[in-house]
Amino acid sequence: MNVSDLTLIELRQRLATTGLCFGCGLFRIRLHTPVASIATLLHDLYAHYPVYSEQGIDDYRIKLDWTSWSRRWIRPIVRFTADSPAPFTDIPIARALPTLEWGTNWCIATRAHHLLMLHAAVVERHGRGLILPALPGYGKSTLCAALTHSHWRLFSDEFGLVNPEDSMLIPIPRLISLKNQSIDVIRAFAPSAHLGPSFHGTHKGTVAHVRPPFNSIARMNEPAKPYWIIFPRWQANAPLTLEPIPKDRAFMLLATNAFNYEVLGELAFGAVSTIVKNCDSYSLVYSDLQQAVRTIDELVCSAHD
Amino acid sequence: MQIWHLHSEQPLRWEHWRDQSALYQIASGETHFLNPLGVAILMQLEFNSADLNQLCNHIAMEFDCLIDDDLRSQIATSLTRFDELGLIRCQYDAELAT
Repeated sequence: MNVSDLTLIELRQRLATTGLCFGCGLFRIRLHTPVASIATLLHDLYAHYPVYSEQGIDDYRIKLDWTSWSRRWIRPIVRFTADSPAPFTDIPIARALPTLEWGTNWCIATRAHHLLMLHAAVVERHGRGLILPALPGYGKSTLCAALTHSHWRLFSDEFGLVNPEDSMLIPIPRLISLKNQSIDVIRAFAPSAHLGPSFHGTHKGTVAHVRPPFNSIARMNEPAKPYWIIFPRWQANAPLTLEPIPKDRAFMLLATNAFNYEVLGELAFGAVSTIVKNCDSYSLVYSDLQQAVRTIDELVCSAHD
Repeated sequence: MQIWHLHSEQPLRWEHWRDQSALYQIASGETHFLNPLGVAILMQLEFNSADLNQLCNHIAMEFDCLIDDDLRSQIATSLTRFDELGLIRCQYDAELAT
């Protein structure tokens, strides 16, 4: 059963009582919230996630609750917690969903240390994984959303999860978070993309979320071997360039990009070494999204043929 | 005389590319990037402890070059840097004897 198989009333009841237990990639998440407006958004944006039984061990227990009884009615304010207090300020109800998404990311980033976590988008095609590591603001999520709506399978727009034992990429198809101009760019690029509402005035500006395609969630337990690493960078008006990166430099860039390289130590060294050994690495500078997607497709198709 | 050793008995993990190598030191959890001279020095010390003269002889053979002041100085500088990074340490002959 998926979230979309629940009626909105059933979903609200679960969220307000036992919590909604759902799966996202390897993780089992239990979400509690009495906030009815969040339930409406989740019914739409979480529609494809599988609903799990209330029995079982949760990886993350997260909660979005009113800060107090009175603040439910007067200028409503909510608070994100995860088993214990989380480092997020209380926020107006109108910005609850972005905080829920960032909060869940925070849970994964601070606790999933059995996996190597790259700060990267990851997509897959023909069984081959493409890693897109980048700093915030470099167009990683935008490119990921565009590829996800161009025959690629979404693994993540934020976490490149790697099993350090075999260096396989692990899907975690969470909502793709788009910011500011990227929202209209993706609306124009992929009219079929399912976007939620825009949230204005967050600390990252205006944010909107793309629902992962059904196929990406249905296949979220299928890992993939990494074949390419492309370090993307969006630059206004820049001509497209795609340049190979030598393996020593790729290693340095990827190791310093990981959230928890130091935590995993030798395992991380081995995993990054294996990925770099098996992958062709490139830097991509682009301003035209269509052209960037076409260039990546050509690169991948030439390797596939 | 100063004898140079690896700082830890735990093995080093290497990854080699054409012009550079990465080294993971298990004891400290740190990754270091090295040029071929650094690699040759540390690999020799991984194999056996050595003093500066022995290292100069080894490097001169490895790189097919003459031992001169410049080479001695480069190796001595590398050893000092590796010591600062906690990759190697030195002991004096007298200490070893006791």
